[in-house]
Amino acid sequence: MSVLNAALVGNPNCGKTALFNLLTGSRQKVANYAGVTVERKVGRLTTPKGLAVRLLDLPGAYSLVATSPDEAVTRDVCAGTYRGEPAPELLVCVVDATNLRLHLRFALEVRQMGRPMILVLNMIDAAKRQGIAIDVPRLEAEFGAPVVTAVGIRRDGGQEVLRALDLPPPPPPPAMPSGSDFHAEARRILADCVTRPSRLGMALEERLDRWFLHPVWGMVILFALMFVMFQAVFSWAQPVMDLLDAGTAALGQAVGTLLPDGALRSLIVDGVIAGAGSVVVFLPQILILFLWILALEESGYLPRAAFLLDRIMATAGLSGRSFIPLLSSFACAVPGIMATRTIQNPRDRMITILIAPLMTCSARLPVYTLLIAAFVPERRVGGLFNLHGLVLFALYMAGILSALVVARVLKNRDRQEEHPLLLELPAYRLPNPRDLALGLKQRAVIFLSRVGTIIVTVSVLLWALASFPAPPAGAAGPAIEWSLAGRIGHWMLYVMAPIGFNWQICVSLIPGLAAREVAVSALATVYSLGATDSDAANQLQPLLSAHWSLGTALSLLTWYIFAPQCFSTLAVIRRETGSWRMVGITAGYLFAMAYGAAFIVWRISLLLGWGGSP
Amino acid sequence: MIETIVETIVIVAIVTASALYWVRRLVPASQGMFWRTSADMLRVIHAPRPLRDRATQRARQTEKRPTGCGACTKCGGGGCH
Repeated sequence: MSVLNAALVGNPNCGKTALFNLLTGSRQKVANYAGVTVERKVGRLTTPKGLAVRLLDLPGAYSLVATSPDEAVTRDVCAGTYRGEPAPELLVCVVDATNLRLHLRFALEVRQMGRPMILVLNMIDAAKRQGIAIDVPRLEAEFGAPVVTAVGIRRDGGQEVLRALDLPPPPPPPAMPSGSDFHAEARRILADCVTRPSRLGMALEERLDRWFLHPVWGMVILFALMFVMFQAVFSWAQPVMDLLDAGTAALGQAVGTLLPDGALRSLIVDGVIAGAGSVVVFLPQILILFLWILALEESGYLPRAAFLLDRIMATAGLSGRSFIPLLSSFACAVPGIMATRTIQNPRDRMITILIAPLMTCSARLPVYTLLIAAFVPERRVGGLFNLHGLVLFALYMAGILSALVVARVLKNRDRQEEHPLLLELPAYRLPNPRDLALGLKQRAVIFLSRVGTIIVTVSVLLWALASFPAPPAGAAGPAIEWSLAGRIGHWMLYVMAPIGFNWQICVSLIPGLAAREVAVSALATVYSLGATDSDAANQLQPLLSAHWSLGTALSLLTWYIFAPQCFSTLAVIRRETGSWRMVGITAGYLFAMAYGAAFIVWRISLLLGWGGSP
Repeated sequence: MIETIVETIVIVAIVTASALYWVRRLVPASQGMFWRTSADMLRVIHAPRPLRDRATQRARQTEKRPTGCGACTKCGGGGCH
């Protein structure tokens, strides 16, 4: 059976990925801002008439004269010069029907390539709601290629596209004479085929922008949104967390009673259940954090936040274009670093890659919330705000501010011409509950699969290291002190004692390099094996508050604001920069900052009398 | 006695599987080496042909040269172009 090679192209944020997901049944990330797709994705579909189609989803581009790495991918694939990728037999050019003035210009540029193409007017429902009337047959005649309509976010919104794919590929559209002005041609076609409503229809959007983009009120709204987000992370999640905590403890006790006393029971209860269970309880908090981020993404607010922060970013020598990669790094630094491909200035891109690890990734959330819950009293500030949420907000802000300072320092070393920020502000949209649910499901699957693979395997290995060799006959103290992990922890103390860490923390730092949240499971395993009271083994939080001083907790929190990232982040830095030197610089400066800041915090804690026994 | 032996075997299997998971994650090249060695061993012991072919195929798959973002090969040395 023959397979049709087709590629989705179009401006950023025209809904290519939503259409791709709809047509192929994929689950690629979509959001209401430009630059979400930075590399090509492949999917397969079968049309109603049984034609097999291999569909490529290409990064959005404003022009085929590429200015950034992601645009270069689109240009090369369309031109058939991308190695390992056959030239598409059909280009499916997607345009936002509500923003044809901008998107039709790029469609004309694609038409100029002289390849068979169809034009898809996506978001046609939104265009109708805004009173935009498009004469599709006339547009088809003017454009010189088949034109179909679509609604990428509706289940039946891709029917016309499927029917168009069923037809034989159309002949290449006529090219314009060389030197023609694409803007002028787009304006001419729009004047002939599109009727726009009076500006009254845009009044609500403009009124909203007057507040959201206001230099003062805009910033107030932005900080209020962030503030409420961190309050919600603590306030809303607690009941579900308590349930998960109780479930984990009950599972540990049930398995403990089922298995006979011995090494296998210790492996399952103290290693796997204590380790993985201590991390699973943070799932509700992570989902609440992502619910906010996804809702802001979908609503179209995030590019406005980037616009607002452009001035602050400029004080650090960066443009607002760095905002989206840095924001993505709050989920995980890996997609954040990949998203830097949308930054045109190579130096800005390198600096954004260097500072992305300073954004607080979701893997650090379990470490922060564990220590905050253990050491910060649960009380209201001003009768309104949760103190835990305030401290979490402060930790996130510390990461952001340190990133800006590092960017400023790096920019000062090599001043280059500034690139002004050109940003497309999308229309406001009510978040689609299906997309929100899909996004949360993806985050939950990612988190739980990490628990099932990375965290369980690390817990097993750490259990082995913390259980063997067994203590000699007649030895005093917990057996773990004689184990290999115990010895490694004590050796590391020579370096880590000056910043207030104990040997258990030292042991947890090594597996923490695999993934941040593993540090929590490692602490749970180490304390579980060292505990004499089986109930205490199930509750890490009270154990920490009983064994650590406030100074130690503050020092560890400070360490985690800056600490060198997990292996995956360092690997993606190597891949994106093609340089081991950059990996070394990133790991080196983050380690130096983490150690220096933790040292200062520990010394201040000692001066304040917070460094003694709890 | 038998219970202790079974318990030891189960523990060794779990710990070894976890260790192999991390070796594969940290040193992906080790996977190719593993399948190549397995294919050689299967050939030596005259294992059934489908088994040998499968191991050889996996060895070939894992030995493919790594490429850049999305299989891009234009990133030789100086980063992404």
